[in-house]
Amino acid sequence: MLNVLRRQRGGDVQAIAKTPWWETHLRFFFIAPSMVLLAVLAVFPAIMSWRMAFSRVTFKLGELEIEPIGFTNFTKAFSDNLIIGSTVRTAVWVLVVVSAEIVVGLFIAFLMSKLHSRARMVFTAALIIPLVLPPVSVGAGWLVMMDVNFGVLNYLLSLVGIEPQLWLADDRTALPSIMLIDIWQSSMFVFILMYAGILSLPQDPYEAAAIDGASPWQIFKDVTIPLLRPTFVVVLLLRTLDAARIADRMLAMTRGGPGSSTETVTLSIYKYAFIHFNFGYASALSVMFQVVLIILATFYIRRILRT
Amino acid sequence: MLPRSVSRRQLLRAGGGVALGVGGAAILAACGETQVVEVERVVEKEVPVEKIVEKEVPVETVVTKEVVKEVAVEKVVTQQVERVVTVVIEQPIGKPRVRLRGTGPLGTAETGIFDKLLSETQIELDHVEQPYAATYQSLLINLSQGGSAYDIASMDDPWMPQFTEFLADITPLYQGFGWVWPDPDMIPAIVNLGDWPPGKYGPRAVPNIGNIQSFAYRADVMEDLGVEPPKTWDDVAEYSTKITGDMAPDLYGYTIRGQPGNPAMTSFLPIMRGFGRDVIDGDLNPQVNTEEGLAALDMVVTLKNLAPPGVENIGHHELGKLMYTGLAAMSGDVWPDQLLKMYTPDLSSVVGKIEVLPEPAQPGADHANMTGVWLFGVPQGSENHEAAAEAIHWLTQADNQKENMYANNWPPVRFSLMDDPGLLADFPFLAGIKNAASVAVPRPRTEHYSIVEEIVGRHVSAVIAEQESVGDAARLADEEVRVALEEKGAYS
Repeated sequence: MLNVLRRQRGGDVQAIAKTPWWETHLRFFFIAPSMVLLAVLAVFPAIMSWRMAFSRVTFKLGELEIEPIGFTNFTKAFSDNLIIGSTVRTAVWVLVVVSAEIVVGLFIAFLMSKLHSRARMVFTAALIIPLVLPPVSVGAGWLVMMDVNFGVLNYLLSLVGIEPQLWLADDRTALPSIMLIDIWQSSMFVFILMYAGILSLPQDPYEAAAIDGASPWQIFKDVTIPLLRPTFVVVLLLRTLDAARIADRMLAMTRGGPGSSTETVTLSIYKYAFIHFNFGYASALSVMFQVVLIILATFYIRRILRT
Repeated sequence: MLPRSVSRRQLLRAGGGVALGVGGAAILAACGETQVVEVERVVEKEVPVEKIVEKEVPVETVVTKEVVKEVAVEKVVTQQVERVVTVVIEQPIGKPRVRLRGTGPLGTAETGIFDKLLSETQIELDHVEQPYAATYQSLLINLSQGGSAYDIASMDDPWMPQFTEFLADITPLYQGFGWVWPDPDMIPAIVNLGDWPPGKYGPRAVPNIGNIQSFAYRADVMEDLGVEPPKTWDDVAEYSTKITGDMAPDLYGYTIRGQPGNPAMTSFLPIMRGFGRDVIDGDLNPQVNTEEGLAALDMVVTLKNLAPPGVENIGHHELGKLMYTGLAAMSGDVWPDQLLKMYTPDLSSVVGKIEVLPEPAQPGADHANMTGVWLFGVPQGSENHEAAAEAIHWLTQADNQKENMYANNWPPVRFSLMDDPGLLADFPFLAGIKNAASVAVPRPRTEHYSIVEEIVGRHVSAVIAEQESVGDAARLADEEVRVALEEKGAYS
């Protein structure tokens, strides 16, 4: 038996020795096209962005003049009132919309899990409609609906005797109004993930809890929520990163106004890059923003791996 | 005899062999001999030869290609090629078709203008339609990098100081065709918008759309008030106070755009200039925090308080709607496309009640309507300078400008059309636009205008939203403009 094994092993060694180089490295040929694409479309721009972050960039005919200036672009950000304001606003935005979306998404998912399967299909189809709409189109639609003088929302309020609201035209209500729209649209994404999570939960703990006489609230709090923890972390990761990058909705609805009351970090970066054409400063802001998001993502991913 | 079972390695080898074989065949095909196959396929099966020659393919190209391949093909194919040659000889050799690409407002395909251009000049124009901001960004990157993505650039006049150095010289291109440039029928003040720095390059762009900002007011309301149309901003404030006080919420005195950046700035600039000062002076020193600037911002606050609710977040379309629905009586930020809506019975409740004037100005200051002219230029990086010049010349002819007025409400830039009785009958406000054009001035002429506009426009928006006081907004706007322009090396 041992001899047979040795012969086989020897045979394998011989076979490996005879294998041509291209066959042993075949996997690299398969991934090469995507690696090249990745390098051209992601790695090279990222490297350029980091390089520009430490430079003053000037447009000349047919070339970009990149002059190294050290950390100047980075230090400038800490005294830029627009960026400080945008950062605070973005943090508030992320905190509010992500929390609200998780609560709304989980609530809908929980309700849906209690429905009859045919009703579930109908409601699920209806609920994901907001999710498939492009944010800019959604923004344009809501902009019309929130128009102070001609919008349908104020018309509906007038029917029940409520004064017209300024919605996007008041710096105190503009950001909350856009938050409402984001919560309306993105909660459906949270719902889909939570719903899938709930449907895949094991039934044993529920049966055990029922035998022990746990109330529905106790079951939800002590069984469902802990079991859904991995899903929570994934949702938090995806929604936090996505919410932090918000800009398109503001651009479509308020251009960051009134004043700068709805201006977020990415919108400020966009303005510095494509209105001021200050690519050095915009790159430095992007790099700092990128680092913050990477730290957040790492934190969440470690949580996911631990759970 | 095939083996009974195939190991993964054998499968990979076989797959690799097949892939290499196919790849090799493709490479060989691309290198030479298999061209014969391609010719056979093209000639015998898919392409009706006469059709290509007569309609779609540039004639010289077809002849050259087929004759070269005639050597390699078999007898049958050669006969086909001979037929092509015969047809070509019988047909007059036409002008080869050229395909160009342009962006910015060029015309609308629905009106058939591009088809007409093709049939008359053999120039096929692909129109890359983009929003305003995207057009600017894409043009700046393409032009400055000497790119050949566009052959025709349609540019807003404030962009010209940034773009002229990247544009080809129109004069020799026009002269090559025997055309005169600058065209004597075009309004010189508008033509000169393409000349920056003044006199350095000469006008490098050809105006096409004579957009002029104007002051529009409700003539019937002024009549009811028993007053003459406003001449100063103080008049505007006085009449607005009366109108809003007496008629709100059905009618408000004035309307203004409050969205930050371009919208707020475009509403603010005629007011600031009407107080006798521009937002930056000739040496690019910011001027908002001056006596005139502060007075202009105070006027903005006054007028905003007399405007319909919600102007803090309105843009171009919303302002037009406030006017044509009859909710606002005056605005100094009205453009021709909005005037057309005010004169459209299906949309407007104020048809025939709106009149147009030069912008108001305080005593001692000049009336200053703003230009929003769009001009055509040929990017230096384009590989089709002559064809692009020819297309521009064709697009800016009087007939096409007239058609654009009817189709898109793009005001013409030609004297001959400004006084055209037919146009004046169909567009009564054209006379007002002509008067406004006589006092029109461009936005501050600097390549850094977009930065000034973003910063000042943001602070004006903050004043309109009562986020900042007039004093703070003026101070911050000037400080930020100075820092941004210093970074750009504007003062060195």
